[in-house]
Amino acid sequence: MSTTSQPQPAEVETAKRKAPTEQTSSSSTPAMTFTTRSPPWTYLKLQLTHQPPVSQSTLNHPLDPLTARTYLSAALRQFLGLSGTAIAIDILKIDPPSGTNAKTIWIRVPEPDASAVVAALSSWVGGSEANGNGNVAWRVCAKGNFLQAIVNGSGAEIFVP
Amino acid sequence: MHEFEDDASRREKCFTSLGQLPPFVDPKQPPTKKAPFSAILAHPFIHTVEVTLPKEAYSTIQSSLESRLQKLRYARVFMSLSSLLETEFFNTYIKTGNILMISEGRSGSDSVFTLRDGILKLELSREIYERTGLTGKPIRSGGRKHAKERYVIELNLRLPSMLHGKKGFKRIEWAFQNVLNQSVAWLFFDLSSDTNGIADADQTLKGNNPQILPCEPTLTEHPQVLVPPLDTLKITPTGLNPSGAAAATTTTTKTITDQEELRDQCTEISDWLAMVSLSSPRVTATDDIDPYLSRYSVPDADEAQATDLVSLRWRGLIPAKWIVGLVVHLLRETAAGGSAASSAWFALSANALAREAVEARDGYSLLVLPALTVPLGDPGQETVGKEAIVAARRSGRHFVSWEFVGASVVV
Repeated sequence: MSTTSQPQPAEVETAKRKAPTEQTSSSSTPAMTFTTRSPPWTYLKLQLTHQPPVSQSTLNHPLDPLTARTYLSAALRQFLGLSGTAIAIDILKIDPPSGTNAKTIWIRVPEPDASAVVAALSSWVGGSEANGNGNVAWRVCAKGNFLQAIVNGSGAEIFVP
Repeated sequence: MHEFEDDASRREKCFTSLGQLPPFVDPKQPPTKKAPFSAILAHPFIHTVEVTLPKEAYSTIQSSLESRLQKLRYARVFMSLSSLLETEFFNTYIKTGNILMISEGRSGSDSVFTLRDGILKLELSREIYERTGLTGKPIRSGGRKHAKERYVIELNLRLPSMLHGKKGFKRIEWAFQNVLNQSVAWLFFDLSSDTNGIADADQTLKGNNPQILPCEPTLTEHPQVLVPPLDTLKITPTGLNPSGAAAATTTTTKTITDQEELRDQCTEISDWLAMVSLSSPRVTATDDIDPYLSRYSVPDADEAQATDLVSLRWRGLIPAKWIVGLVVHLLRETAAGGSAASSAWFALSANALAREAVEARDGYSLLVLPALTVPLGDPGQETVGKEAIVAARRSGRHFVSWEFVGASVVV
């Protein structure tokens, strides 16, 4: 009886000393679980919208990465000044690469800057009025710290006949 | 740097588990309690399932996937809540049958209804809730500012008291005829074992004129994708030796840094898998974007190998049971066979409907590593010794699973 009760306090001790990593291990298969709360990046799905008056050729003109980057920088500069332009933005994908007027881009920004970026983009209206075209604006479609959670959308379109 | 309070970001979480699958998974009785199967069963309403795997592996399992995997179809139907209670539909599908239904709308702002295991769940705003006269409970709002209080009513329609003519049931009928009386778009799936989603005998769902939609996978090819080394995600039994305090104290410092590294690696691999399903040009070997536009790089890029990948995507209302079947099927088909080529990794990701307004479950993803490892620097050699195959069959395959909570998706 005494021999079996002896090692038990030691067991408790080791369990206490462990860092709170929520680590569990069963007897046969090793396993590990943990929770990630603040990963380094935040992912955003953005849509570029044209405001009238707008010519058909502008609508059909594909969005290239450099123009997208310019529009993003302009929005950040307007809202946050010089420090806004210093926010690192990675353009992950431009969708579709050519053709239609639904211009969607996927970017990632450092997680601590994400809410500033969202605020800057959603309050910005810019573009070239000089050559007779209307303004452009960004619309934030999705925001998430894990790209897999947002990559396939909300699924709302399968309800629509 | 910019001190904006971001409430939504603080609520976002990812639960990761690493481990080993059992060596044999019975297709008739797959495990339910352990990861990754517990994650699959915790998401009853899924709108997209995507499987990614090397093209080489897909070509060997393609025919069996097409022939042996259960075909799926679901229905889109406009119904009011009171037509759920009409005798014929009620008795066939709710009392004796087992169906999955979910209504259109955004949780947190619209009235949203779900039906699962005979339990009808109504999520309502306070005004509508009070008008129904039914008993419910408030939904946890997570202390969000400016969010209106919302209520959920759960009705177990399979209870013996839920019969036409009973007093409590009359109250539900009254609420459905007078308060919640608008028709809404629903998705419908019949879980009975032999129906593939819609019973052949009842294509009209008891006169409700549904639109029956087949759920066929679409194939996307991702040529020349840089695949990072995945073997580092295997956790070995030696790393987690639970024997005695002495051993634990000497290895603590080492394992903690290892664990930190492993955690970061898991997040990176998860994001990489998402980049592949996005078909981002950033993960291809031929990408030459300027660092001014993107500085994304594949994790462990110097060790990554360019491989042709394919992904299969199902869209529609997909029940958890079918996804378990898909995983079991993929496990069997990509298991250690006669050659190293037939043992491959695969990844499956699923995104959920019915996201709650606070801390919604967004979906999950699963990566299963190959049973056999091809010796490095010898990729041409496809035959592996018999002992290695037997050993691989005996020990389970390593996996990583991620569950995502709380992202904000608008479109």
